[in-house]
Amino acid sequence: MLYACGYASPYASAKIISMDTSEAEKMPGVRAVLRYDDPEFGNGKTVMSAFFFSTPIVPQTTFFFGEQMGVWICADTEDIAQEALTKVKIEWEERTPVLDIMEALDPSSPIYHPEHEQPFYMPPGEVTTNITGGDEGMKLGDVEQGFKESKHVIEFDYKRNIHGCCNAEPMVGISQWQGECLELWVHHQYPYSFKWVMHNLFGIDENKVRVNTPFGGGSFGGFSACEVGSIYQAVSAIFAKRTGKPVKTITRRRDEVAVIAVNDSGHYHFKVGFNDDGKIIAVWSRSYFEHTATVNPLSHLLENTSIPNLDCQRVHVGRNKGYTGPYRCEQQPGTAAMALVFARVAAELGMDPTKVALINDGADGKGMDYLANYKQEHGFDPNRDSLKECLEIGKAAIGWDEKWHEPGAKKLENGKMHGLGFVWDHEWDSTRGAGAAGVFIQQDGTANIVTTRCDNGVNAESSYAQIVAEHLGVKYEDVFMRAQEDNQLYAMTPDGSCNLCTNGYAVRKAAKRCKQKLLEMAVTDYDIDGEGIFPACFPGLKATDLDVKDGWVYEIANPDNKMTVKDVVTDNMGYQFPAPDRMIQTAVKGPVFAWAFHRQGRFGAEYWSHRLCRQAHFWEVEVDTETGEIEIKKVVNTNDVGKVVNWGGALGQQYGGTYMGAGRNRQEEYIYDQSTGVLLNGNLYEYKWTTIKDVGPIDCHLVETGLGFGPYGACGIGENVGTVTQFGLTSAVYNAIGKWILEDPITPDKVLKALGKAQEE
Amino acid sequence: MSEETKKTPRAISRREFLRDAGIVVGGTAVSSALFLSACGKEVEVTKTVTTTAPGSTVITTAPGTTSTVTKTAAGSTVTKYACPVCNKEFDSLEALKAHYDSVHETTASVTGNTIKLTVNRELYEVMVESQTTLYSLLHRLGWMGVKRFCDRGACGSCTAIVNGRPILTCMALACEFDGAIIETAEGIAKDKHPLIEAYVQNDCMQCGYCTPGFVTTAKALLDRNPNPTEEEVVEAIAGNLCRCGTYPQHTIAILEAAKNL
Repeated sequence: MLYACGYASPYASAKIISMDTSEAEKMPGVRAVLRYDDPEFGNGKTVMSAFFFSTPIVPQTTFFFGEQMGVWICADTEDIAQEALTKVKIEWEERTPVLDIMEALDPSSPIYHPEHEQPFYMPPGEVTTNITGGDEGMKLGDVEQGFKESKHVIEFDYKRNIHGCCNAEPMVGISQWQGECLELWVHHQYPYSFKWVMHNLFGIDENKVRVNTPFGGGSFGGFSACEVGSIYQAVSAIFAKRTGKPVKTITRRRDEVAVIAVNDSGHYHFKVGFNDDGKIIAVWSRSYFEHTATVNPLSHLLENTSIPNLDCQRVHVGRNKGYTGPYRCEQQPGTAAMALVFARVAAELGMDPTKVALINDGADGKGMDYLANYKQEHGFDPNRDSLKECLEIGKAAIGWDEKWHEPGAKKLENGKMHGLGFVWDHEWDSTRGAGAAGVFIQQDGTANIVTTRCDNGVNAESSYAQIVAEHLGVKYEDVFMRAQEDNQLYAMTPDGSCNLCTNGYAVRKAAKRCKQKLLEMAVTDYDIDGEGIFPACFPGLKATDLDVKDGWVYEIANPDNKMTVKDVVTDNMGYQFPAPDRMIQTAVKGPVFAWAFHRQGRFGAEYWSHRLCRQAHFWEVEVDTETGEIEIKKVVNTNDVGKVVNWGGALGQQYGGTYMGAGRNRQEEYIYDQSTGVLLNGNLYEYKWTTIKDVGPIDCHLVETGLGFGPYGACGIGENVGTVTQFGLTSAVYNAIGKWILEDPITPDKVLKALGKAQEE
Repeated sequence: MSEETKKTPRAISRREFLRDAGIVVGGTAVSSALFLSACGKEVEVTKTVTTTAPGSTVITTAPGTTSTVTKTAAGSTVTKYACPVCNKEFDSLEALKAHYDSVHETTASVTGNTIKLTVNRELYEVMVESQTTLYSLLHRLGWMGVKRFCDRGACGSCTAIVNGRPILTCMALACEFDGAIIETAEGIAKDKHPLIEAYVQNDCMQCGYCTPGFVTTAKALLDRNPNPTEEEVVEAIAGNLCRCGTYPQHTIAILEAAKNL
């Protein structure tokens, strides 16, 4: 194995004029060098990422500090590669970085990346703007008319400072060529995309690319969905081809942290019209996002509420920091808008925010009557009201009715201010995704789920094994899923919180088809090439006379007439002979295998389906008005997931989302040197993730209304808590001190400034 | 398939995966690794030491090398030194160095300190350079339970129990641990410590990357305090980071394991 490391840019904006790698190349242990001007893979040659992005493999220019660019070095060890990089001599054209997106909008501001691809809506040519995208968006009704009809109209701003991704396991890519065949080990959520990526990069047939996906350490989107998500794998494959050895690309933690941040960072502006009864009439938003934002901020208000008038424009602005992308998850602009609009309306009216939520529940601007009809038309129970059920449980658990008070009204004996916060949203997702899976019964009666999928710890294996066990009729412990090897069938990737609702259907269909094959085998005579008939296990019966349970095939009308799955599938002619004679050549019975594909919606996405499940979160805090510190005393999460398949896994998502949310809104923020663009806290000492001691007791509740479009009425949960619950902190702090702090993270200095105890800089 | 089988760790560990990918790992019952320093940089050499019974046939292999079949007389020892670049075997370290000089590099020298370690009850004799971290050494010896996460002692994922104390191996220099007895997550799992079953039953792992560090930290706690309070458990694992955030389940699992000691 050889190791490859990339040169990390020391500048936030610069271009390489010339590069001398001679000293590096002479170092013992250095085996290959890939430069920005490489005739085959340099000079702007791009590689595709999992989505539709293409990016230069070895850029000559950089637009953020820490970007891997200029040169990659492949050596016997990682240490040698890193040391060789220090011997590379570069002549730079240094450029002035621009870090603030509002400054970047000024026409006189430096262009953050002059060589960047033009925004699609502008003609090709020299890049003259830092606007990289956006839309005039999402409209519903007539907001101007709506504001006229509103008793109250407020406007407010929200700022989300840039915060980070960074998976537990550093980014790597491993490749090995065996003749014309290429084998990959990818640390990536979209492994199947690499057959296409390598096909495009090398011209290799996809059937000669094998993609393995070992367990992935802490992957929440981020790098996998980023423009540069394929770079590591591409570089390892290039070096593997040139050296004839397996190559692992690996990055330092500091460099990886700099690459990508969460794509909700930016400036949001809201204008909200509402009436005295809490009914929200119109919402207008114009928001500026750092680099990109995947969803429109008002999308959740559209999907979730009866607000009849919505209009949102978003602008994506380039600046000299890393990429941004979805990181548990891309819905954050939508959840931010949802949380803040409702919190502000409730506060202006002095109303209980849970009541404001109920008043405005709905979808596409229509209310609960519409949703009840919709539920009935789609086979759901129209009497189940997900939000009401979540609120009832959550309010009781936090003691809402006893503890909620006017803002700034409750000072505790310890001198701190008590606050209670609430946030709600819909639960996602049961309305999109596509995947394939197979079920194979081995000769000992155990079963495999045959599919390939990134395993990043969302407990998918357990859930799918449960489903297969139930529908195949075997024991849970006899079902095994080994998704890490290239099985040529690809399950829905872990993203979008829609895995269970897509792959659950796929494995269920496959299990049912496999069971049917098993039963047909059980009633079939086999003709052994004229030597005689190998009789059926259940002679004289039809497949419909049989069923399978706990690993036994049995006659429904006479359950004592039974045989184990193992005995049914065992090929007594071919497979049961002693070891030297267990050859496929003598087999009489074929393998019992079936597969299925499932698409949850049109083209894998079906946005017309209303989201019927809801979630509600409650936060209790104490704010120290002397220090500005916020202590999170208790969090209650209620998630209606429709149907729980794996309780431990779902609870884990609730806990995990809470800690991530607490970190995001209380302390997580990347800090850059404002003059150079150098990332100052690109490490886990100074970029603070939440520890076990940072949040008090977390009380999690799972609600099962069956209102999901997934199997058994299920809906997803993976991204839901981490993306929504964090704003419970925002409203809890307001309830505690009576001041809005609409800039995340809510660090102590901001609390003190809000209280008038510290000056603005 | 039995319940026990269902709950054992996965058949293919990261260690085995990386071993198959070509990293040289020490092999037999008593194995050693020497670090051949070429122009100041460490290059790993695998030495296989096999002690045989009289007249027996031994097949020794190291990943990437050819099999060596050896018939020995009573009580004799066969030692081979494998080149880290081409895997060719030599009878002496001097022969290996000469080969390395002539075929792969212009100069080679063996530098560093020789230390002895016991890792999960396996004895090693290792020559390390002064800047070799304990994390790096454990990885080279094939013990992947120590993970690189923060790379600067902030996350606890590189934790190993060293002479009874939990140590952040990425912040520890190997040369300081001559004679140390080290336990990693692999050893804890091999001994079927109650923590393993408790962690599985309580869904403590999501991605699992931080889990070996947590288990090791928890084991160190239970070794010194077999009956901790919940607060003591929280305090003990407060230095372990988990981005998946299943912290509460860790506490439950550790308290449960304590009851089953």
